[in-house]
Amino acid sequence: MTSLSLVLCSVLSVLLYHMGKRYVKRLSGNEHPRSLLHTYGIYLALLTVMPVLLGLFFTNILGFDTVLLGEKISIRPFILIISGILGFMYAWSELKPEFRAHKKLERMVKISLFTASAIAILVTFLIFISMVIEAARFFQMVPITDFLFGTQWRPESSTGSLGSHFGAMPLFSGTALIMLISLCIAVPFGVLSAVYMVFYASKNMRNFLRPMLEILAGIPSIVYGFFAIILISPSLRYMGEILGLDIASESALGAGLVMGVMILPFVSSLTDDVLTALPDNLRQGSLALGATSAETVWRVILPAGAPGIVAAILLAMSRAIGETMLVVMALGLSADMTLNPLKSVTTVTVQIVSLLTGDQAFDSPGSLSAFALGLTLFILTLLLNMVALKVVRWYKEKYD
Amino acid sequence: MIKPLSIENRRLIRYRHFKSKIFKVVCLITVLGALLSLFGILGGVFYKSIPVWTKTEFKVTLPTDYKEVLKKKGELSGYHDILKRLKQELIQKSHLHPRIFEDLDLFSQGSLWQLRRYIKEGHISSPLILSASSDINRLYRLSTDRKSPESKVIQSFETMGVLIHSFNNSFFLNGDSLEPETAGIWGALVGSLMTIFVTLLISFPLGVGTAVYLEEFAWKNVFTRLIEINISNLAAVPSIIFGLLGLAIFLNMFGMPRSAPIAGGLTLALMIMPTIVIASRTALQSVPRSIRDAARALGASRVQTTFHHVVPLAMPGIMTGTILAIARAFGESAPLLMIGMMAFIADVPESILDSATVLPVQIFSWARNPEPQYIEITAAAVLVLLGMLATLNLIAVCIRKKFEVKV
Repeated sequence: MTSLSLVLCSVLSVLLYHMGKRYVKRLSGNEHPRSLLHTYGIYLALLTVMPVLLGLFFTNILGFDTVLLGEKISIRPFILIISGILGFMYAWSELKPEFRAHKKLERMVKISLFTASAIAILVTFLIFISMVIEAARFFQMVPITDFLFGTQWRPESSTGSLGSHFGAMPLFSGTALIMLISLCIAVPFGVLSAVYMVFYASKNMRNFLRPMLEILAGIPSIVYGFFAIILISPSLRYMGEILGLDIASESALGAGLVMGVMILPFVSSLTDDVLTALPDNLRQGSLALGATSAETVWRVILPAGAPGIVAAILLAMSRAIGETMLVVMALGLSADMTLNPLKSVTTVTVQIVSLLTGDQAFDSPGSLSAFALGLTLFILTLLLNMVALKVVRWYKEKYD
Repeated sequence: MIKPLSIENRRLIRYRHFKSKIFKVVCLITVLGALLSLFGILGGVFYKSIPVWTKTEFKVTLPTDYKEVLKKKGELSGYHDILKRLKQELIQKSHLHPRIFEDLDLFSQGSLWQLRRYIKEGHISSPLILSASSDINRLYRLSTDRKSPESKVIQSFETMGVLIHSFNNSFFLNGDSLEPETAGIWGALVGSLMTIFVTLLISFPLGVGTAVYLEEFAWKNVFTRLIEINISNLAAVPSIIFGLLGLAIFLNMFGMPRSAPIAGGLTLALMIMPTIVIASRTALQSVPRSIRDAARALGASRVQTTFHHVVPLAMPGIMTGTILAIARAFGESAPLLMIGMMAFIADVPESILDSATVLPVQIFSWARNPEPQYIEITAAAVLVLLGMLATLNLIAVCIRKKFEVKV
């Protein structure tokens, strides 16, 4: 039904286009009409086909298929045909040589562009609303202080919902631990490699290194997760055996290391932008006064670019917190509140995935807690990004 | 007169320059470390996937009394019996000691279904091709050393002409299955393509429309500022939040079919729309103002200058940005997990309303299985995913290079 009407609409619109054009041309005789001819054709076709398409869309959603006229004929085709005829009659009555069709068409274009951009706000609104509603339902079952500050995370325990605890502190500490480990890798490696690429590398090397880092940034996180499983975790366990340490197979160290590699390109490219945006006279002045290049970078350039680098680190932090696939594959579900990187921890995103892909009813406190966790994550990343943007803007004002 | 430097000062200067050289080396080491991890990832995945690219199969002829066997023992045990007899035949013909084959499977588990399909389709006279077991696969890999005992088995089978070693096209053509030897990525690829199609269909008009509105038509009021803030915030939201959005709104409120490309495509479209907006705005901003001024001066309306002059000039940049955003959506799995694409889907989806899976989610569900064969096919699927991403990125770069207009 739908595909048939779509095909019919396309054929009809072509026919109406030519019909509108010829009609107005005939009406205007030897003079020119007020708009270009093709706009009349488009106007006629659009005003006829648009109500049909809108009707198709809304009857689908509102389920008019089930309203039957008599026994077997559904009411839907009639609605579509009637709306199409109404549109046609209105457009036809307007087709005169004095009619400025392009004005109306342009108005419609502007309205549709505005609608498209309003959808951006709608999406943020929807994200917020959907999570707030479900999280509110959760907070009716579990008080918010228990959730934010409780230290036991056991969504389902054997004694049923009486024994389940929803204290999210182990999740927050796990997320923080992973984030810290990954920043320990990403910040030194990222900043120093950006320093190398900007100040020490030749042009050819820089042209080679930049695409390499872009490739590293473009690898999907699931590949990193797979890499962590097949190479990093076994190697870490093997090294742990040699050194006599007990490194869990799902250790925070493994996940943190790989996540550090994953966010390294972000830190590196943002720092690169910051360093190239700095005025060159800073570096030249410092070198002219006799500082070595290392001293210049360490004591002049990096402090000057510090706000931008801090913003880069904040953005990398928000990426690390929100990362899902890598930690789901490399970590387990043991909600251990520890700072020991050799043990296994769990993060907020892992719990969201495991709570919503398990066999739990949608209304159980387990599934609803996933929305509460999602809301926390959303607010946290939003705050981090706003702070980072403010830092970048303050820094730009300073150096422009 | 310039005082000559004292010895301490000269030593100090040399020391400072030495530290500078060390610093440069340290920076170089960090760069090399990043490169090493990149090649380590690619190389490690490639190394693990090597066994998948070829497959071994047996060429056998059906025993003539298969119909009686099936009638006597029923379907399932009948097929088992036929396989056992084929194994006996091969052992006899190979003139090897039967004890070698006691713990050795010749045929894979999936060969049961292959046999069944051959018989049902009536291919009873021509030689049948049945996939070899993982034991045989393992022996084949160990038999490169001509002197080892394993290679004798393989050599005798090869001289008998019953062993075929070929490119593993079943990996690309089969859907997912319970057997790692017969599992393929075709279903996941089709699901991915359908999902990306829906994503593109929705995100491209929305994203480009928003960018055009913000750049060309919007006044500087509170509403515009609000839209811009929203776009830049949405661009940094983690992908799993969009999965939660899709679950709560598309699945629960709108009632879309779970795990269908339409729901996944809509979720991904919302996720990449801010990226497309930002890239398109950059492209539109790079069109010089003189174009717009000249068109307006010659009497064109705002809509006409935008769509006839500005947008075509910005199109290469817009397309590059869109292709890069699509490439990102292609590799996303977290939001799609949320809308239920986790289930085991063996059939290839036929419409955008059928249950489907996408390649990253397929990789995820295979990767949870620690068996070595599953790791191999996961690595191969990862390589396919990376290959498609590389292709998309190359297309984007080519478009950018080809249409680069120096203004």
